[in-house]
Amino acid sequence: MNQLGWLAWLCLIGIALFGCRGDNQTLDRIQADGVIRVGLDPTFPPFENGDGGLHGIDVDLAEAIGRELGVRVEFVLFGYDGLYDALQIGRCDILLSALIVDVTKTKDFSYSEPYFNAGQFLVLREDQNEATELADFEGKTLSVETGSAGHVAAISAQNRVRDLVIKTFPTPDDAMWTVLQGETDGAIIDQVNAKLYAQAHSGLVLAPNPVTVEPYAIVTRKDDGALQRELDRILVGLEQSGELNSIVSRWLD
Amino acid sequence: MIKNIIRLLFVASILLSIKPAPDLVVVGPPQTVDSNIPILGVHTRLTDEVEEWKIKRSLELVREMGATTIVEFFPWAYYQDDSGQVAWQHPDLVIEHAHAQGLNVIARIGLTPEWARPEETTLNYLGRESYADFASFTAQFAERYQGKVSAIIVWNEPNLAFEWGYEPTSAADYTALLAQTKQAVTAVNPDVLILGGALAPTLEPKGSPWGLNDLIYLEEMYAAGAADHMDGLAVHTYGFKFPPETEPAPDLLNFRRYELYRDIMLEYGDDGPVFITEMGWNDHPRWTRAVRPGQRIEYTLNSIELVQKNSPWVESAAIWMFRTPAPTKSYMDAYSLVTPEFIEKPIYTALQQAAGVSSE
Repeated sequence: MNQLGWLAWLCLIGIALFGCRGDNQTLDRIQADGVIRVGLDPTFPPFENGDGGLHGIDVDLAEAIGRELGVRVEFVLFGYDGLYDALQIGRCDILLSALIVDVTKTKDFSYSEPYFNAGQFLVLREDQNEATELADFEGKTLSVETGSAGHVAAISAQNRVRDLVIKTFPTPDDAMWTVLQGETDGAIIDQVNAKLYAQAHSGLVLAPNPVTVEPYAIVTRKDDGALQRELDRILVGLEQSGELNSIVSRWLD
Repeated sequence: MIKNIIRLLFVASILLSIKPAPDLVVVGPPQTVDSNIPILGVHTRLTDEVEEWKIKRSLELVREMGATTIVEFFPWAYYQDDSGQVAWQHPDLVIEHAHAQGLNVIARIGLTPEWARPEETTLNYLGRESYADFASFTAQFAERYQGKVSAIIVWNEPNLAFEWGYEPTSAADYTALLAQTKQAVTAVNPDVLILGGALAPTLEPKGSPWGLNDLIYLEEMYAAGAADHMDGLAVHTYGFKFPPETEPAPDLLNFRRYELYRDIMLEYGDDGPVFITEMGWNDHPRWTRAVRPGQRIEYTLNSIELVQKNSPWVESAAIWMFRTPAPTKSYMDAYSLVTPEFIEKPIYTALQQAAGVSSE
């Protein structure tokens, strides 16, 4: 082996020894201390709400992750603006706070597999099969909440769907009520509000394909690769076992 | 052989005749804002907007809404390298286009470059040893944009630990920063106003690791002599769940909290102007501090009317926020007036109508 070859081997050994140590650092520390510090902004039900004791989907998910890791969960509360900085300087180990994958942050942070799609969905009457996606709404009427993201999605759809009529209402519930009454052909509502309403009012369903995708994921620091892989493994396990669905359903269905 | 030479010459002549394409986006002729709400402003978010046409389009829409003023963030960290060189291209674009649209510019300066802070700190960290560097950069900024930037806000929400990289800070420290900056700026541009404050509305008690109650912090600023080092107070005032008319109270975070700031100013003999550089309501469907979109429209319109009627000492009232270059994918998006795709939200149209601007 020539000198370059030896050098290459030495580099590889160095990366294996020191690179991996950095990659594992936070996970090792979590396991050694027996505690994972989860950062969140407790103002966003049903994912995290600090009113009346900390509770919500993310809180339950964090507890499930803690159980899988065999460690205790410590919640650290921040304002939304301060979440990423808090993770960056080690005030917490992960962020689990209804955070959507943000490509502009991927230089410093990594995202887990998504665990929820918070995007907009078409809400339809259970007994109609004529229009099940936006493209089918030519000449039909959509109800939306005034000024909401669903309203914006509907305005945007008007560029592609001929003669699409938009009716606006003061609340998402009012918009979905008109669908239920047969006054409009569908509504565009975010998944959380749509599910909560559909649960309380039989006769409505969510279309299978989302109008917009807003995936929630767990955030780790970029150099915490081992922790991120472990979180992905746990999330896949929770999904396969049905526990993830059960946690979401506990708060939405 | 000769044919090949002729071909080569032909190709070479074509290549030599190629010129760079002319600029597709031009600043354009000077415009004026047509509005019957002279105090109406918006906080734009052009910091990360890289495409010039989008900068121009955003500012056109601001003018067409009837806003007279923009508040914009200019991060020191983005512009100045460790040799002292400043990349002015992006701020030049924003300020030139704003100026051409007839908009008054209030600039907020913040974020520390890597070379001016210790390792393992966030962009928000600013140690006392770097106050002079901050002041020097701000002075360069003020000098460059003389006549185009009317006021400069020093730092942001200094009563929050997060805004100092989660390091402890104090109103006295902030006042020292204000003093150094005011001195450096005035030396090169005596016309630009230095605004202090821009405090975050919060009820955090003394000793909290997260921040300090804004009213207490403001009192401490004045006790440290801040009145001598600022020409006006920048104010962040949010309505959260409350209608704009709700009476202010020290233990309540609502829109009229800015009136309590004014009381403190007067108590310390400061009769200077107030600039509301962030205000508004959020209409996200699930944020615990949000209202319904229809309420947001109503509250916003009423709040502007209220300020005009009752608070003549407020120079401008800027709504947080106009538009972000990309969705933040959080409840923050429910503060905007226009989507990243330039779709005007109903609140934009309502403000436009209130300003007496006819939409085309």
